[in-house]
Amino acid sequence: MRRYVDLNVEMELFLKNPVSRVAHEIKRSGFHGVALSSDPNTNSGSLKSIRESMREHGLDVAFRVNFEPRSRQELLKFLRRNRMRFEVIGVKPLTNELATVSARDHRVDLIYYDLSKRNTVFRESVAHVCVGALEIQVRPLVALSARGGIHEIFARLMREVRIAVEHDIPIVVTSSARELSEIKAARDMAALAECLGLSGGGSLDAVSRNPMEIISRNRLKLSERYIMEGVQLLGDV
Amino acid sequence: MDWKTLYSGFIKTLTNLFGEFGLARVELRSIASKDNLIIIRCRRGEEHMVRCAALMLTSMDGQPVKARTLRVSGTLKSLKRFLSRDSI
Repeated sequence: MRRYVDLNVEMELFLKNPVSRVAHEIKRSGFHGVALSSDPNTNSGSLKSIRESMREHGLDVAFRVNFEPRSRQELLKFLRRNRMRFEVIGVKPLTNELATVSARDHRVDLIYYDLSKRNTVFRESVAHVCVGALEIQVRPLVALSARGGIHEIFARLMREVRIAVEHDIPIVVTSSARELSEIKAARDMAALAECLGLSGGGSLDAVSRNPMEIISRNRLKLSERYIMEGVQLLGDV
Repeated sequence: MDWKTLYSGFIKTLTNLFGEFGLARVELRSIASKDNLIIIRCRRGEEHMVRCAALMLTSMDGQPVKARTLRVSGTLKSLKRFLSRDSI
């Protein structure tokens, strides 16, 4: 049985609504786990208490941080500081040069783009060096579609998905929900990926296998048992 | 919200996303509705387009709306059995 994971749920959602209500809505949408996006300076105690409450409702929670670097140095500094603190790191590059730097860094799990910026897109040159995954966020897409001109954004996303598939880059679809109404059904999000050009199985992987792999890989790296790539301690530590 | 408003909202979103040609390809029909639930029929193999429309549907007649696919099935019988369960 597939286990669905929404790899981007904003902290704002938990500040506006009680945890039990959020957990109920996420479970109703078919998810088994979420990644909670927060500011890097957020109190770790409050994050842990949300995780515990969500676990009581049968939902797994990973911690995620998003970053919009303005320069290469700023990105590298951020990664040095936060890689060992968060299970998932997402980067939104503002220029194509920063996209290349972010894509080739092993510490970056997800790369996502500002859909309103036409010049910064997921290009072949970025796909060649990309070691992470390409993220498609539903909330900005829905917001832009309400304004009209969705065909241009769909065309752009279809082109990006095709490039990612050609280069075997995993695609992750996330809700990036800030309100309860922005939490979407897992299979509906997979349907969006299918409309953008992924195969039936590939679109389901975008909300299940791909995000699960990112979380489990990073949890292993953050555990005490991990020594280096391919080497980990077995038995009692 | 009555089923006509819901159904026309779906038609509008589908047309916005996929155009008249896409709408024709889906062969959308409303079968039944009750309270906030609506059963929609579409052509087999095109259900992802209807699901995508449900995802993108945010407002109808100026009111905020959230649509979610609860179940996809090939027969009305199994859908009605699903809807009669207490969990819905």
